[in-house]
Amino acid sequence: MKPADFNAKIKLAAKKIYYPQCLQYIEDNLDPDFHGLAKATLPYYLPSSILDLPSKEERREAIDSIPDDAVPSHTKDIVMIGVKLLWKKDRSVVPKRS
Amino acid sequence: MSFQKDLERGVAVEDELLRRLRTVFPNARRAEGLHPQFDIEIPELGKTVEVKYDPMSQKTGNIVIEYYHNKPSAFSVSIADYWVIDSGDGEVWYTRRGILECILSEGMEPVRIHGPSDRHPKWVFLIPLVLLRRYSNVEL
Repeated sequence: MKPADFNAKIKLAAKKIYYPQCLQYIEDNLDPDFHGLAKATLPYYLPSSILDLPSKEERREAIDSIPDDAVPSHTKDIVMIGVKLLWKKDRSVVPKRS
Repeated sequence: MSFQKDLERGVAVEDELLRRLRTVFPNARRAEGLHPQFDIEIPELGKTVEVKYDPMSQKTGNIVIEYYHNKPSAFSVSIADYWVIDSGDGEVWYTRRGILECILSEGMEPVRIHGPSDRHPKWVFLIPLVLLRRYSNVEL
């Protein structure tokens, strides 16, 4: 599979937002040989999808859908930090009203 | 420079960093055995360091941040507080969070590379060196 095709699949998986559904998409749409790689790549795409959710509660729920023992071990950590970083970045580019 | 030379230089870079750290933190030590989670431990600070030597970045302009090599690797498994990246013309210190911020904020896409000595391809982020340096925000 070409990297561009693979990345496109992972972006679609991340659009499922909630971790179990993301994994389900991966299992349904990718060859088993790519499942490990897909799970390792997902955390880098998931934060921007979660950030699209309208409320803090929903974003929290999406992050909490990632089990603490998800593989790779930093999955939840990367997503949680990622959501916070992107949220701060988004706020910093909002133009101030005069 | 051959792979073996790069490897030897990488070890030398790690040795030199450890020597300098020990002038301030005498208990600083190398991780024992095969330890993918960090390279150097600084007990005085309760911090760990990953050392990366990437001389190819002088040619390509990119730092390679690996996260999958037949299994989760490097950035996926490292617990190091600091990443010291030596690009061949000096070292820059990063936090793990700083590198992650660069990957996410700059919309980095993973790419697959297959080195001549690699049995399996690696999945990595190729981060422009000049870009990554903007995310260096380490205070020891």
